[in-house]
Amino acid sequence: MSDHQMGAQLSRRQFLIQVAKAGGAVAMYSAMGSLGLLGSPAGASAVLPPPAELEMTKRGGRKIVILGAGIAGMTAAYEMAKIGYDCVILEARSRPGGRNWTIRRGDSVTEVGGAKQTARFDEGEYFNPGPARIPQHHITMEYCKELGVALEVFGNVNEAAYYYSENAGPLSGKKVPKRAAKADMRGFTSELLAKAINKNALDLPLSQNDKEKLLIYLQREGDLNADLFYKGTGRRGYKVLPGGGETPGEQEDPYNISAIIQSGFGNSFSSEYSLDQQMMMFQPVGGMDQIGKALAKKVGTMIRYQAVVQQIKQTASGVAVLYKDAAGTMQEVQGEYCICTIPLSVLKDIPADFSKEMAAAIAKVHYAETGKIGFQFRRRFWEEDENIFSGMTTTNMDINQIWYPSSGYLGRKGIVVGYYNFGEQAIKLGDMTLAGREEYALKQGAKIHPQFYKEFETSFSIAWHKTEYNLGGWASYSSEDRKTIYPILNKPDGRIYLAGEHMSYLTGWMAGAFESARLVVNRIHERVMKQ
Amino acid sequence: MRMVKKGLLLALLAASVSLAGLTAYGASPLTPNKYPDEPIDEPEFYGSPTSSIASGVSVPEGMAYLWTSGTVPPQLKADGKTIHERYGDTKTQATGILKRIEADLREKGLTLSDVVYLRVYLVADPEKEGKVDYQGWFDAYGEFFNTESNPVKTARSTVAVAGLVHSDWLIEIEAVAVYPKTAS
Repeated sequence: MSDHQMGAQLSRRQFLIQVAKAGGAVAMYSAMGSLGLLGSPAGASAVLPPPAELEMTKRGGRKIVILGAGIAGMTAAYEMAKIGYDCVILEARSRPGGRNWTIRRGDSVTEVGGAKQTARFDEGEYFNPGPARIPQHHITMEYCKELGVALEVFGNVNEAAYYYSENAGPLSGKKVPKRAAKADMRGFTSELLAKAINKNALDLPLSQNDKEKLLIYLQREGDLNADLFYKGTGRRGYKVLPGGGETPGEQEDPYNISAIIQSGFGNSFSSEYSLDQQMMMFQPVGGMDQIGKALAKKVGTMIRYQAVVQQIKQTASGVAVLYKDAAGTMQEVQGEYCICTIPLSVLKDIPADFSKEMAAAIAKVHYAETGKIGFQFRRRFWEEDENIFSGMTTTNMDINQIWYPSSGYLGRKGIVVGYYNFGEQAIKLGDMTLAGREEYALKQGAKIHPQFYKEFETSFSIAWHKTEYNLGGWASYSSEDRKTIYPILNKPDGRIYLAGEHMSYLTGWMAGAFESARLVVNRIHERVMKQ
Repeated sequence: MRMVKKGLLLALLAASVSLAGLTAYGASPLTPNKYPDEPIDEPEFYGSPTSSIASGVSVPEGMAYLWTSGTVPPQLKADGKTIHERYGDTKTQATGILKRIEADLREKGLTLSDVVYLRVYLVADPEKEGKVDYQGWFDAYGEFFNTESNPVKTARSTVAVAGLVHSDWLIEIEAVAVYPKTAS
């Protein structure tokens, strides 16, 4: 599509803005109904009030205090400013983005109760300790477009990477290419099902013709031979790859059926099936913080950095927030409404006059323990020695995953995620010293890649549950919480509205922050328009 | 040239604190290409998070230093009858010195959070059973460093000596400070 054509096409959102400009909110909602947008909460949240409405109705200049300059806080400010609100953002750190963050040479962080850590990566190398991938159906893509953030493919699934398990039957301690594990698992299960169908061993509501067609499918799905046996397949890789001249390639026998079942590798396949993990996935070129930085370009003048919230007060007419500035002096900022994006794990300890019900709900939400380490290697051995370009290895060791970089292919050095783990594994590694984490993750990773030790240069690790101003990876609701606590959090408490990934069904994703910010913008604006 | 050592100061601690915390970061036969803990943009302090001082500090190339002279306590009362009346006990003297150093630093555009190293000379206090009041010094240090407003924990040497220039002085302190790089 040419630029000219793109410019000529109206997006749904632009169209609705045009409708709203001409006809106001009623016309817009009517148009939304005809477009089928009103039935879906996510769709409704994606449509914002028209820019001119506040001015046109002489409601301009309303002040909104936003707590936190992460994705949710900055998006709220960005969208509210578009409509004509006057926003101020208090940010505890000296940088924007929150968990949207990229670590580069010289960046430093001190964990709660921990030592200061400084990144020694080479110039140009980087590590995303927080969000690191974007599903193509998330609203994050739309914001990347609007903010001019360039994207590249993130290799979330790569058949060349490995499964590696310990204490899991005959394949324990063996690095098995994902393609081999998948081909064998699918081959054997297809064979079993095909045989069962052939012997009429299954009570299937299928006609003879259905069964024949199903057998053809299974033959292809599992790469079964004419007699419906799985005897291995080129899909699983070759001992000697097919090549030029007289090199037809040399296949290997499949693993023993019991061994491949015992390995448990099959239990990991489904993670790639979930909607948010399916390819294609994307990442910003140059680091995930390009999104936070692009937002900060839009709202940077509204942000007060190193402003640590001490107390949140509200009256019938407004909100007052006390904070400590960079010099340690107490300051106060007032507004008509407050959008609070502070993670609940932190908010629960900030004095605030929330209703008892709200305070109890905030205190109850569990936050995920999670950690990552970035390893800089002086040579891209995963590419040079093993033909792995992006993707991730999956293991039942404490390191859980190894991620290969989705950029800088064929270059000299690279940063690999040496572990990305959750829960008890994250607590275990997070409780170690920085040097201890590095040593532990190198040792486990070296079982899969013996090159780890020799090529290792430097690391940077993060334990999100020990990171100041976050104290957790993301909100982790049980289904019971969704019924009891979540509805309370979703209602404004007086003049305070909560936003952030924790106020969505997309917890842990940036899209949750974007969407909840837009919802809150709409809710406040609706309230103002009714006044 | 990441191995440049010029301008790299390793201010090491005397006596009680071992160097294990520093050397543990170095490359080992297993990881022959591991980077050393060389500082990048600002001085780096090493050691245990629970210790009140650093086991060592390193300063990146290209940063400017200020060394103070041995700084001595201010007189409280010229006609006092005892050392404690004239200059105070060790803690009082130490507090007076740190305030002096703080004022000296301020004149140069520096603060106590720019201090990377302290060398402290103590003498026995005749008015406290002739013993060196180490705790008095530690308490004074704790009011200026490793606090909420100044989280810096300096590398530090604390030594007892036979005497200082004035017989009323129980403590003398030298400070090394580093000029912060202005934000680019």
